[in-house]
Amino acid sequence: MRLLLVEDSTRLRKSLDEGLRRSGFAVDSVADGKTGLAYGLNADYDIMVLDLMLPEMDGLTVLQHLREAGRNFPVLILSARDQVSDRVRGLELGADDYLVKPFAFDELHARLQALIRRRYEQRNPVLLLGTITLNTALHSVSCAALELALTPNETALFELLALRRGRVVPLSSLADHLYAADVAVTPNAIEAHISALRRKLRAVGEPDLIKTRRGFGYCIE
Amino acid sequence: MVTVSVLLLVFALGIDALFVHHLRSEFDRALLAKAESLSTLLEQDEVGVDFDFTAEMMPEFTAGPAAEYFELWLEGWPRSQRAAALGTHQLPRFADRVANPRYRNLMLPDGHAGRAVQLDFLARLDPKEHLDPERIKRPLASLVTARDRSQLERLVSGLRAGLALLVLTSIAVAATLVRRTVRHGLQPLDDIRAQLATLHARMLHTRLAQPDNAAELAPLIEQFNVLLADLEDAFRREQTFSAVAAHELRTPLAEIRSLAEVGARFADDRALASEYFSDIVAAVTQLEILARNLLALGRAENGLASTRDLDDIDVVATLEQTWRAEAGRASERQLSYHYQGAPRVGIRAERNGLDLLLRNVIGNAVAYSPVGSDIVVTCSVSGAGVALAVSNPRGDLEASDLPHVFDRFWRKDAARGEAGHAGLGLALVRAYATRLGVQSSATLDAQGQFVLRLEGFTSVATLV
Repeated sequence: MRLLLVEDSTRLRKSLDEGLRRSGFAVDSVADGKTGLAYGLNADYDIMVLDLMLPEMDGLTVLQHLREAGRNFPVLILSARDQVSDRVRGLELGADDYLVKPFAFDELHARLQALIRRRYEQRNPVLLLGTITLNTALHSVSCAALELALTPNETALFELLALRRGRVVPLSSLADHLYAADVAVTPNAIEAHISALRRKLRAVGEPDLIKTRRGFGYCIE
Repeated sequence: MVTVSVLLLVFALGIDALFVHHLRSEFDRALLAKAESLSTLLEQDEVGVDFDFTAEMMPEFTAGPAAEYFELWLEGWPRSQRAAALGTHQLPRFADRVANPRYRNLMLPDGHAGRAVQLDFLARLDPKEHLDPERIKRPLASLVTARDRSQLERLVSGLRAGLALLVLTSIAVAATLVRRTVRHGLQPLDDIRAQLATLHARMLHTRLAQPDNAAELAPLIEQFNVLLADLEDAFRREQTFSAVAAHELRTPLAEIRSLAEVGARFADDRALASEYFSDIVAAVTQLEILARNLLALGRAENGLASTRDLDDIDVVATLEQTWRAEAGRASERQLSYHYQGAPRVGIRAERNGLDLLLRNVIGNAVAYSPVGSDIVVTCSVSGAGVALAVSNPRGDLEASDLPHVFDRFWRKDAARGEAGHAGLGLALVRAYATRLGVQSSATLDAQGQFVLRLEGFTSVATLV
């Protein structure tokens, strides 16, 4: 899942960027509001984490511009402002969640997962795909209690397709959602991940779970 | 309203007393005139006394609906002479002789209320006979004349009823007028009350509108609006302070917690953990400085310098000493220090408080002066007062920033980026200056300098 983090505190941004990357997110992190808005307008993120007191442009203005431009990805506001009026204003301007600093990293991670599931209309973190069980909260894939040894990229790819079950996901969209902006990725790399994922699924008896739609992309039916 | 009613009542009672007295006096006068007229009919001649009364001449004394009555007693007469209307009835008379006419109320033979007057007199001498009054002995006569007074009483009752009606009507009209006048007069106040009733803590931006036709309330409205503006400003400052304080305290805490949790989550990455430990130490140091400054501010704001601890201090030497303490940071930023003024200037102040004040003044100038700029301190003595002015290039400061520079947590950067300070420097300067009894102010001069003035140090002529 691709995530945009806009936070001006270097230490906080660094730790969140690292923690979220290692938790399976493709993270673009920026330090000011203007850059955050530019990133948000130029890519289709799965979710955004937005601080309010930002240099160049404050977080609420960034949010307002994004919503006015039709960007509907979930936005979680991360702020030191803890007044009810601050939360209400943020939510009224289009934020989907509000977390007050300081916060537990696990809680942030869980909220991000919940917001992503809600975006893809999937309330249950556990998805059943044939004999395969995908736990989006734990980022685990299993078959009959046997956990599949997937790499983080393969797990993220499988989650992406599973959350969009029934829809064809173009190759370009897969690249956009799986990799941060600073990572150069080729279609071949995506196809290599698909191939590896299929091989591991075939090994547990699910060879045809991921379908190829020639000229369009991939899907799980 | 009660006063108006009482006044009307007193007026009515006065009118009543005046008119009733007048009517009754007139009635009595007429009664007396009738009695005197009758008395002239009693004449003394050589032979004796003759009462020359004829009913034809005075028909009112015959029986009838408005009959009048008289009865005349004369010494020597076996019985009284009386009006025909009296029939067999007698009129009452006072037993003792009366020098002046005497009146009384009584019940007339026809059953009506009446009034009588009694005259005691001597019969007059017949003027045609030219009798000598000294020679003739005249008998004493008593004449009582009475007439119906029910008409008078009806008139009095009517008058009183009219007066009562007039008073009640006047009171009712006055009450209505007073109520309307008061209501009309109080309408602007009621409008203000209605406006005030809509105010609450979230509506401090609203201002009271002046009601129509209430120019006399304009100063009140104006004063109240000034109060509302002050309240709004204070409320906004409080909100800003709370938000900024929350940011300054929560952000390093969030950093520490996030670094610790992410580091622990991936504890097998020793390089990452080591880097995060360093970051945590930096964040804790930032928090420590913030806590220290907040405590210093609290102490400075809550205490005044003790006059027992005053020393005579050379402020120029103290400034140079303070600058030397900041020389390391100043050197990193290529800042230079220039002093303008007398080589030694003595002031009387609490030494520790002065040290803290100057440390914050110089420290603030070093922190905010653009790299490579000059910090100029000017010291001037005027009479018993010493003033210091610290100037450095204004950077991005605007005139509109000046009212806020002494506020706690104020920073030019609204986003409160990572400048390494929380915006407490000048708040501390003001608190320490106030503690020393010194006025602090900030201006931007025409040369683009930010000038911090400290005025009101007590000068001492000689230094040991």
